[in-house]
Amino acid sequence: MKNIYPYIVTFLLLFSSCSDFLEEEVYTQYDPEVFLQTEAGINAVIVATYFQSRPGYREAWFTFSEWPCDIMLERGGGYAAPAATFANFNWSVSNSFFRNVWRDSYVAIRNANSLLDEIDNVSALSADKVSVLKGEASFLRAYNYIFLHDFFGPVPLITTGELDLEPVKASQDAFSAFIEQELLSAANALPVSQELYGKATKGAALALLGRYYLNTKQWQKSADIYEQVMSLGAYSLFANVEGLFAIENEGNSEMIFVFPSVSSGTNSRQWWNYTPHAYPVGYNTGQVNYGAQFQLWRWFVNSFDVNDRRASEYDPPNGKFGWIIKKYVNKGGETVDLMNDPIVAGVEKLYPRPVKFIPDPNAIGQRHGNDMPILRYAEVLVGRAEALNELQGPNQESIDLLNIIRNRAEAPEYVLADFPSKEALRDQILVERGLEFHAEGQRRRDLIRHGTFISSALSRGKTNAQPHHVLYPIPQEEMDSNPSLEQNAGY
Amino acid sequence: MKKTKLKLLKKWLVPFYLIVLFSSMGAYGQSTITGTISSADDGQPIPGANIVVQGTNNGTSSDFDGNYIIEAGSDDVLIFSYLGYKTVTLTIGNQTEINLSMEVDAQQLDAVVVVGYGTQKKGDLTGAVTRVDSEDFVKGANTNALQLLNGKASGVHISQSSSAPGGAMDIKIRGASSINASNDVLVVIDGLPGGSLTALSPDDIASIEVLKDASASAIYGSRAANGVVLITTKKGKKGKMQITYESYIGLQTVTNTIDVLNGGEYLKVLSDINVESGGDVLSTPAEIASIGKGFDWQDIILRDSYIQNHQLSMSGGGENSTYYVGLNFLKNDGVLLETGENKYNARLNYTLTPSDKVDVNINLSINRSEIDGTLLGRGTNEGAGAIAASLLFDPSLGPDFDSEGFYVRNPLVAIENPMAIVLGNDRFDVTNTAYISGSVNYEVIEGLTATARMGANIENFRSDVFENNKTERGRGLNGSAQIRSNDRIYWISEFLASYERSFGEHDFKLLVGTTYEKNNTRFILNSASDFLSEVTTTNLLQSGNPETYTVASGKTVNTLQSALGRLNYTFKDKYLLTASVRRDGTSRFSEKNKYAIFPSVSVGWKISSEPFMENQDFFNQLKLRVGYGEIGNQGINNFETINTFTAGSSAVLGGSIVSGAIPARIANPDLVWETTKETNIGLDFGFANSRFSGSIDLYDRNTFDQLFSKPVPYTTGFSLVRVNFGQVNNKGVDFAFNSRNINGKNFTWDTNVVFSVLKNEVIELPTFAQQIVSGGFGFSGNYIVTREGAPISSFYGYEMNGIFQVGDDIANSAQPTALPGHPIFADQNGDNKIDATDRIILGDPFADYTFGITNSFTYKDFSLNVYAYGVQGIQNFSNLAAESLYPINKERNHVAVHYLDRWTVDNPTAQFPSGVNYTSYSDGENKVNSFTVQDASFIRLKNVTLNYKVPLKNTKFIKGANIYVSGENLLTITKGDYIGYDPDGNSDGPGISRADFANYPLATMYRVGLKLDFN
Repeated sequence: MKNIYPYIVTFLLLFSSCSDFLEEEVYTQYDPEVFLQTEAGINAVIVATYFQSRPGYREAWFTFSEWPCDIMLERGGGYAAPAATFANFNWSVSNSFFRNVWRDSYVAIRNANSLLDEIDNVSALSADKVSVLKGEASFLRAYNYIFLHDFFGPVPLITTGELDLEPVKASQDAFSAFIEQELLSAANALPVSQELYGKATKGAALALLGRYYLNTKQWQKSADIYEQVMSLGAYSLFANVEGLFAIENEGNSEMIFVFPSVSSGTNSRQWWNYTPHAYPVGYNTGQVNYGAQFQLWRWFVNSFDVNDRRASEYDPPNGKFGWIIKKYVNKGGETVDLMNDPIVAGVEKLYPRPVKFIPDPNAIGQRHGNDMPILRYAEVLVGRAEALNELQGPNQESIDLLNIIRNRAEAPEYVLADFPSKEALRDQILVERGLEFHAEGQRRRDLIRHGTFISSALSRGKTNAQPHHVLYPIPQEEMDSNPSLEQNAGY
Repeated sequence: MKKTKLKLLKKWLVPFYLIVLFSSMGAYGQSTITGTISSADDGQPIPGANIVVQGTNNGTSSDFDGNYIIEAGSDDVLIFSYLGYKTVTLTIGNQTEINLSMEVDAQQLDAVVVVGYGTQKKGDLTGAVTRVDSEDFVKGANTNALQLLNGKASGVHISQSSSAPGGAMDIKIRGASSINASNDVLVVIDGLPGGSLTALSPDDIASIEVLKDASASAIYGSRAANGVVLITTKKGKKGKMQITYESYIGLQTVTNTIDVLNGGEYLKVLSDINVESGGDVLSTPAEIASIGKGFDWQDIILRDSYIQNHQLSMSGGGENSTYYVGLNFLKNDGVLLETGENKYNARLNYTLTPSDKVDVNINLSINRSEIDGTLLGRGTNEGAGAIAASLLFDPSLGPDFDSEGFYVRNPLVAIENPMAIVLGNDRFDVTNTAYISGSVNYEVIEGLTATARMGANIENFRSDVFENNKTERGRGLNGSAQIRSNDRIYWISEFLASYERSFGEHDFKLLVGTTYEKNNTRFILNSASDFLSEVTTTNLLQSGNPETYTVASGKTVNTLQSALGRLNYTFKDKYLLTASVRRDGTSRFSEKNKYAIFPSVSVGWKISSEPFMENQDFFNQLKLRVGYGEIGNQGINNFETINTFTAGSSAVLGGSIVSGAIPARIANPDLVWETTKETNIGLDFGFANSRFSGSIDLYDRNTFDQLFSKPVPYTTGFSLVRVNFGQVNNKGVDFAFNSRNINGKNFTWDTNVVFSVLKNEVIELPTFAQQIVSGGFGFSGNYIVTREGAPISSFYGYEMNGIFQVGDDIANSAQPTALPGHPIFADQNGDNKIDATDRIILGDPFADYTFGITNSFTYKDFSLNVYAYGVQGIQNFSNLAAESLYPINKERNHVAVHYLDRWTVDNPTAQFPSGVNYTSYSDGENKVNSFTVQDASFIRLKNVTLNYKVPLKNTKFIKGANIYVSGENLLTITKGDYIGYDPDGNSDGPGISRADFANYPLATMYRVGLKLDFN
């Protein structure tokens, strides 16, 4: 019998499984229970929240906020068809732009939540640091919710990392209350200035809240909060309006919140590639020039006062570095006049170009280093002017605030007597906002607030435009995956 | 102790004593017989053949030179046998020298089939296993082992996803069972799982077995869900060295080009549409005339090219060992400029038999593949590849330079000049692969064999990509370089024991074993741009601008540990049973679901061996097989059951990039294995003395607990979570038939047919994902849907109902803003508007049936082999048609028929819409419709080969010579006007969904080849 033992032993050996062998080894990722207890870990999560909060300017600023509006147009490139869809009010619920913007904002909110859920249990950080980080996370979360609100109305409010697979939309009141509370507490926690350029500050939280109040027509609150920003004393208009967005003037006193860029970035949320869209066909530059062409209507450029520095020309060969390309000598040596050359119907690429984000001379390929401006002091001034007009009708303070802007641009001042009614001043404020903020992703918001988004589209012959188009649809994929979600009216 | 010794003494000494006794008795009145045994096939001596005196234990075997000596009486009968040869029985009579020329027994050679962890006699198989021998491989310039099987094995659908040199092949065995996990088959090369089909020379392969049903493949457990392909390479035979040299050279030319607008047509169409849209005339008739036909871009960047292959094989063996050495070189210049492949392969298969109880096998294979390429792929815009650009670039412009010396471009089209793409993008991929495996078999006691095996597969891959200043992008970056390097080490240790024993009419074979496997992969990715000079390409990254440097690296490890067992039982050599079980554990699943058990059982009944069959002489073979098995799919990614944070989302703060980290996923520790349960019923038959033979199998395969990426609301901050749910069914019939139609002395004609029918159906999806829409391509929206009652990844879009005519009541239609000439979308739900709810299933990526037919003829020294196969009832999404009908900007070139037969007031019966204001009918998913989902059925004359066996007078140096001519992809018949290079190709890569967009063109090939056997 004995000689069977070796076989039994062998058999057992064969079938013995050593459990260590099957343990999952992780070499490239972090265990959250360890990682989030370190300062480096927490800092990495707030950094990722900044990263993710930076919107795709092409979707948010142009596709959603300029093409369906009155000032700008797009022709050419692979992007022409989707741009036309928006210009013509033809979008469908399954358009992927909606999905991308919706998804990206909620990823940013998730990042903020994962920090806010954990930070009160972290012992590695001082109370001061915890307070500031919480302020930043709250600011960024509110920033994303306001961003979503602009396009989709009040959306579901997710405020923890706990999994909720069927959240419902917040009511407008609950949504507004949340934003107010979130930004006021952020403003409380945040310092007036931060060590790292690009981080959220007290002024940023207040100015963002002011914008939200304005757009939700909470005029008094808006006027008050904007006044708070002004009383911080931290901001002033940058005198050289042409160079406001130039690389060499980054971090100037007008900027309240920006997403900084570097041309050495490896991701589109780290660089700025607006400029290749703005260069006209055959433009004589060694830099990348896209097929997609971003342009300004000629009537708009002609609507600036002749002295208005915001309409000055960009023509480097002649030493001019203004905001608009009006004329250029192309690679073939021919002079192209974007203000006067005849427009070929169906091609339509001979319109002036907005280049206020002055091209980065050290661009690497498509990647320019210009920062992406989100909140600047001019908006605070014009915003308070608008709120006061809504509250009181034409008043001297509103006129004075607007004239700060006008003076900086060397445009003629406004005079109170020229505005017989609230409506008259309101209309002029809308005009002024166009002159100041074109190509900064503000236009749709302004037209909607002024009630002209649909009517102006109809007057441009966009017969598809209907009242419900003031909101975009909840993306179809989100509707598919969340049966409790209600589609926006009209879609 | 004493007792044991005594037992041993009895056990071994007694038989020995008896043998001695009997043999000495038999020696009485005996004479010595000598002789030489050789092979009738090639005249070579056969060493190791068995010679036995019938009815006795008296036997011997032939020596290295085929010589034998045996003592026997004149009335004795000698039995000569050797594996693979027909056994010969001879009465000695008065002969003292018997020289024998043994004939190869083709049937007997076939008789042993590799089944995974062992072999089995073909007649004893109970599962659905298809074996294809080297002589039945698809003839042709095959660079991938799968091509050898294409259309040869029923139930196995193989397609060439890309015809580019080194391009991917796709294989599906009995459909696809998994919606989201891998549908890749498991490839086992000489017992080593996970091998690469491109990293071996097809000429080194002796046979390929496909384990089709779950009862056969369950021995591979968690990796068998999609079937198993077993590849066996050639081995040496004892005897003198055999040297064979095989070579061919071939000319390749593109099978067909795609008819796009020529220069003049392009200008005219653009101008006409602009006028019809209310715009200006863009080109005058004189301008159009002056361009003429413009430039045929496909003709400019495609070429005729050569392919050549050389294989030198040496094999043989001594008393205690055999060897096989194969050396291969392949050079394939692609039909697209600047593309091609060189492949080098060396193999050594060595078997050492130091004693009759031990044998040692060593397999070594080293392969190097170098693939030269340019920018290809699915980009439609700035990133468009060379083929896409040749179809979409402005045909009025040529490969010319502008005033600055750069290739001209149409500034309105975001596509580079195709020549700039070809010459401006240099890609070079090198893969070095080494397979090493060694095994020892030891016969512990009679019938019990223990096997230990160690093996490793080491793969190094490096890809260099350089974009120079010929392209606008390359100029903008001032040269851009990227190097990616992967290394993968897979190793396996196996310990097996098998025991074989017969008790009267009962035959048993039991196998048990355990395996340990580990996969370790690492990568590095570096890039730089803005170079001092372009001449250094990817060889001097440090000369780039440091601000442009990027670095990345990674490492993953996963492990698999298994125990397995199999029992084969045969009763009366008529009733067969196979049962197997495998228990797999993987590192990828959480503690609670680490292990799973995959059992199988199958039975066979050799009906033709029953007494009641003796009175009929129609069937000489008839066997019924019934099997059931369960197999798994562990095709999830690493870490899916645990929560982690990953580095990424680094933001710019304070003027530089600061590292970020994000939660990686919603972990699901409840994930379990996807399990497939399959029932197979099969019948093998042979009649008219095996002149006709074949098999038919019916199967029903259900895959449960699908590893599914469940879409979760984006409000969670994620897009999906992995869960198990749902069921997919594949059912079908596999049929194979061989017939010797004519069997003359000088002329033979054989026909071999395989035929497969398959139905794939999603049986169950959970309530929260009744319909999964996905798969955007280029600028087209989602084009596939997975939902209950339909095949996985069905094509999902709009049905087209003709074109609006002048005078139609458009205002009251479902498309009130449409213009005459616009397409009419079918309003499926009758709500008088066209939206996403009007989409229907327009087709699916599974063939209704596939078939292959081989006819081979021999006449004297000539043989002709004609092979055709067909795939019917399959669709794909043509993104080329979508790009043509709904271009992302209209200045791109178009498929000719779409615009030469477009609607105009003067052409109201046109097939295609007007193209006027087309963006109003082509937003996103609208592009997926019955114009762009096309029937991809085809029948292809794949190969015709005429071989001539050269009769040799002097065989001193060369003992055999064959020369042949061969043509490949000679004819493809498609349904209607298929738009694309090859309906068999797939621009969506290997996978379930199928799309066609500027795939690398298929080539027709004409070859001449020769095969020499040296003396």
